Amino acid sequence: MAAIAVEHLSKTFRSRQRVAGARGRLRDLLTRQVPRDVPAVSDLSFEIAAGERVAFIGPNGAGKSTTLKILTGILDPTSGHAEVARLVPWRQRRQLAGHIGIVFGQRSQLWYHLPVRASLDLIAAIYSIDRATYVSRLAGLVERLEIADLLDRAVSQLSLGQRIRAEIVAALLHAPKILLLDEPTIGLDVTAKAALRDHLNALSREERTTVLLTSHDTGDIERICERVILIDHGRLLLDLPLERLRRDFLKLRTIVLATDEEHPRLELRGVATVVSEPYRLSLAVDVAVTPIERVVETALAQLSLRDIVIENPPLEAVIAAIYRGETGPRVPP
Amino acid sequence: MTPGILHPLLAYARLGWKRTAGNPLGLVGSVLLYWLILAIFWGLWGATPLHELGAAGLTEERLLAYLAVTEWIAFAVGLPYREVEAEIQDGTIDMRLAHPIAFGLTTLAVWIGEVGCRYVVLGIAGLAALAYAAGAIAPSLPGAAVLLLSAALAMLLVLLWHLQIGFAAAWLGISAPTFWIWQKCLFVFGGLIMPLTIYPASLGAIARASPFAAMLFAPASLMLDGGADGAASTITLQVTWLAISVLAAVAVERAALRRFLERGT
Repeated sequence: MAAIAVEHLSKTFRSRQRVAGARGRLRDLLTRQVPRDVPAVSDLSFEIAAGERVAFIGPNGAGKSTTLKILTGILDPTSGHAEVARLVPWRQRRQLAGHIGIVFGQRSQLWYHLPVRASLDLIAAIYSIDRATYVSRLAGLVERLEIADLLDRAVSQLSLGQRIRAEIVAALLHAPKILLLDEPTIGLDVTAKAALRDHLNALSREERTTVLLTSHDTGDIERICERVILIDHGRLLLDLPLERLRRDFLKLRTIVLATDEEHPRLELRGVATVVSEPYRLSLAVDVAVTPIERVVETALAQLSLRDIVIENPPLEAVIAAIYRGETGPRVPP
Repeated sequence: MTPGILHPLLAYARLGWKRTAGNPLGLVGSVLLYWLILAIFWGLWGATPLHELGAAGLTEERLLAYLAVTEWIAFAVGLPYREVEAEIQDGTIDMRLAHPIAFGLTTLAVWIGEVGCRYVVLGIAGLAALAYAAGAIAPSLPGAAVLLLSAALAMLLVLLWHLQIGFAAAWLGISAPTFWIWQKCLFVFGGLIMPLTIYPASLGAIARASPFAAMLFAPASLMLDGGADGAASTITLQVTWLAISVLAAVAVERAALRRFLERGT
């Protein structure tokens, strides 16, 4: 059974072009401009089965957030049909709220000047969660997301990573079967990102939650999702299992080594030197040829390392490769 | 409104109360400013030949009591429209719209909690100021009960307008200009400083026919005639304007929501 079903969904915004400055404002007032149609989502169709974890990716302005807003019921489509938890979002927005959890990385549902616990108490009341269920559910989520020491702190005192963890607890408190995440790791440092991905991964697996995630970070996609939907200009470009994306498009990693050697060198098949500087070496690794673990082992064996950083290819590079019809970003010669 | 919705609305109101009570400096600041305004006008009226204003029985004490009520209402309500304006501007309203209870209802519930806290604190501060400055001019017990009810209705009425003003940002992108115009009307037609009874006849008639009179003058005028005398007409006037304002707020919220659903936030 599909948890989310989208059929020929389209959304077109009407916009008038504004001219900057006082003269432009005056002209806007005096002349009536014909509005321009700006398609944000065009004839989009896909289905997501219950329990599936899907990345919904695309460049800025591709229509990801617009689609997510339509699926939460806070934006009407221009045409097409969608069902989330067998409800039509824009007609049954309030009923749908009980079935979905939302985390929009840039927007908060926590009350800024109050302790986290106050917002969670409120959410329990909003969703009519009885006291016993609330206490046990909260205890589980608090333990899983490690926010016990944050509960009595004001949201305004939390770091971004701590706030996002609290947001996820808030979004999951009413045990929704579907979780919609819009850029949940945006702005987080590497450690916080990794921890959050682990939490989301474990939670969605344990509770069989359907996850639809938008992100610009390929790390989020790889760690949390099992399928990828790529859109651009509101249109579906690709819908494929993560394994295939990984095999075809995410096969390039960058490893940056800081060494005690002044002129470090590392030679392996599928590994190209991108930057070679005194005490520093940046390598592009084709993981389809040589696994990343092998490169790290070799580096540890051959070099005296002070630091090692492994980077994913930026999503833009992956998308650019898809547009070019290549099977992934190339290892520089 | 179903009983099921009452529990979450009470939770919202509690949150509002906590938010205000959790900021004691803000409360102290409000009280000090409230006292300062009363002190300034108390001094001003001491130097004003009130008998020349042509209103029988208008004494410094009565005027101070009148002002204590109008300012009590103004200070207790504050500027909550800014919250709706900010939520629309930064898109946070998305998160609230995706909740199972109407945005307007939950917003009002939070505000009622906040205003409730200031209602108590500033009410006590006002009473203390009156006792100190003007001696025993408190209304009778039934009069006091009517005053408490009337002030609460006035505050609710003002909040309903703040909600609508906040929603102005859905069309204008900003609510402040609408608020400043509305606030000037409230101060003038509501009789913030002086009762409408001493306004020129034509202006007084316009003011009394406006909703603003129900927000400030109606409850404060109870301090002019000693309390319960005009209670029935005062409460009737306020309830009538409340009903009209609820309908207006619902219509404005629906229109704003339609706009958000069509154009996004």
